[in-house]
Amino acid sequence: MDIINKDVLVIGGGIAGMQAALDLAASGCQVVIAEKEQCLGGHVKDYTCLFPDLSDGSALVAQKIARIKTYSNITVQLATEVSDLEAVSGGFKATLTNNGKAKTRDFGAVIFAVGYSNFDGTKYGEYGYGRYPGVITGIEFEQNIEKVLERPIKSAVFIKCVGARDRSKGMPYCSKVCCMYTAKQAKELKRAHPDADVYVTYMDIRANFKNGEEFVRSAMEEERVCYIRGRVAKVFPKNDRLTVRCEDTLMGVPFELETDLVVLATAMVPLKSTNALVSKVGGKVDDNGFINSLPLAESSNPMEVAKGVYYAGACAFPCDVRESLNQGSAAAAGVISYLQVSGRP
Amino acid sequence: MAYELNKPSLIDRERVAKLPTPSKIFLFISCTGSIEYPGTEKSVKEIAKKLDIELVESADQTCCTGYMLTCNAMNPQLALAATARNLSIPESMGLDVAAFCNGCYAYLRELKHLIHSNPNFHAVADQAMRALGREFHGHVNVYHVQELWYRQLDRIKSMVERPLTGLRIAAHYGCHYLVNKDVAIDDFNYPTFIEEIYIALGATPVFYNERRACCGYSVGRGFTHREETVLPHLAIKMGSAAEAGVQLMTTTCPGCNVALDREQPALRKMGVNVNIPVIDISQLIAFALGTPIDLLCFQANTTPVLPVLERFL
Repeated sequence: MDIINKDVLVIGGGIAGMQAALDLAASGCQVVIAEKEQCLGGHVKDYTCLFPDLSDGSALVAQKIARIKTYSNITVQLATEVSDLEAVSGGFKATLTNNGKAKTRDFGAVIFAVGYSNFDGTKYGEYGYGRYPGVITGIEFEQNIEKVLERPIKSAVFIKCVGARDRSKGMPYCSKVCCMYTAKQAKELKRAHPDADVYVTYMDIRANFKNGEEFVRSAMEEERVCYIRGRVAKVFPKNDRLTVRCEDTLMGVPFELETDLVVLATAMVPLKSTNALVSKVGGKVDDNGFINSLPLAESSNPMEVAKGVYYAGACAFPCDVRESLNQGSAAAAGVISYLQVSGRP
Repeated sequence: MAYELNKPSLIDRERVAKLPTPSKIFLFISCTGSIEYPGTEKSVKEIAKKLDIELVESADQTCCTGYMLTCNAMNPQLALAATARNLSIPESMGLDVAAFCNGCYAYLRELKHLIHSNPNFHAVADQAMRALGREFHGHVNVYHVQELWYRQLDRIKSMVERPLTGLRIAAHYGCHYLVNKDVAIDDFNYPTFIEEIYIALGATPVFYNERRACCGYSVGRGFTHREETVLPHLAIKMGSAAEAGVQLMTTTCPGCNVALDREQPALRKMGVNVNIPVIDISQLIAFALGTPIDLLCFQANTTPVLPVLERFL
């Protein structure tokens, strides 16, 4: 099998980027992973309890890192950002910046796997995030899950769709994974505190993953998490606890309850300035700042963004761990075909 | 109330910086304002004098018609005609508009937007303008004095003659200014710029739990004309304020002022232990800047104001 002797740049060393790099390397490509943090693993290294099988994200990441180390044709550049990207004849010129020092290198193909960031919860002034210590985000829950489960709580309220599906704060899309991780978090909280009242307030329940619906059902029926359809109007401090004001829209009844912990399922948001680099190499970004793939009929691989440019993971739209891995492999397949085809005389 | 002013402030500082510091501006008179609380209009004029702002009025101005729209008291198209007519006055003078009522502010802005974004509504306004022999092209910016005062807060602070040390004040922002999310300088759900004004005047802001509850004016005195429908809601709001030790409340809307001030005797009959004077933010600022008491017209208030403020005279 003949792979053109051109390097592949994978921008982002999270779960999607690592998967892409591994599949590329196994096929004989020379891969460079440019990761802006001091270590690989992205967000998933902090998630120790992934739905629906409650597997350990940090162990998954460790496994990927260990496999990366076995390939001499994967170069990992940590604390490195791609500050510029240019399409040139025969491929791309990328400027990798590390510690203020910039170096430009040639690549035959590029995969964007830059991931996402989290919606700023302080934008919802009515929930008191950043003001009242009992209000945290779903991501903070994930990252500190052991400490959160240790808290002596008698009640907790989860609020979904914070920053997502809300045109007035600017994010019209559905962040896809929050319904599942909220169900998981509520279950875990109930398991740690069986006598606590745990509520999930929702607009909808979107459990469209394998075993997803069954998972949410079990949260309601086995752990007895109380799901209430309604939007929390306000969270405020009272009697040294937090009071949550909401409406049960299925019953048509407004209610108030005192709680100790409020968890906001904040939306996954795109890294706009990083994603914008695709436009320098013929790619497009959508109105929300996510990377757009080519229309299916125009591309030979679904991860194709532009000629020689592919994406994987949440930089194109919120997705879960399994989907990120799927996309990483798919992007690698796209690059391999592209390099083989483009190398034919 | 475990709130600290320096925790995430949602004030949009860029928008504040873009607000004008006009030397001349058209003052839009509020009918509810000037009839119910003439002190508000006078206070606005006193503050403008101190900030070297020339206020221009016109006897030709009519009601913004917002209240009547809420009450469904007329053909709604009349509001479009009235807005075009009212705004054509400052437009012909080349001036922007300052309103001191949240209602006037919101209705002028919204109706102006409707006229210019909807061809049918534009036609209605056009027809009215032609019949009146006037022109309106929409080149008028509408502001509320609360944002214009906040824009010059440092200047106001330097002119304080009666520092309100120890006075526990709660802000009632109302709905119709902050709901204009495209231009309002602060967050609808947790605004803090009026509390910053209080601090500049030397007072102590109080964040009581029901601070953001609506005053109920549009429901009680607007489309139902049955104030009793709103009283249970007001009981919760004012009860929360009384419990938090609020001594004075300010509003930015005469509608809110009427609802919160004039209902207090009815609330006391319901058993709510509330006696909190409610004045306009401009009256408070004018008071702190040393304006003579008779110009502030506190005798128009149902809940007596002087017992709380006289210690600063």
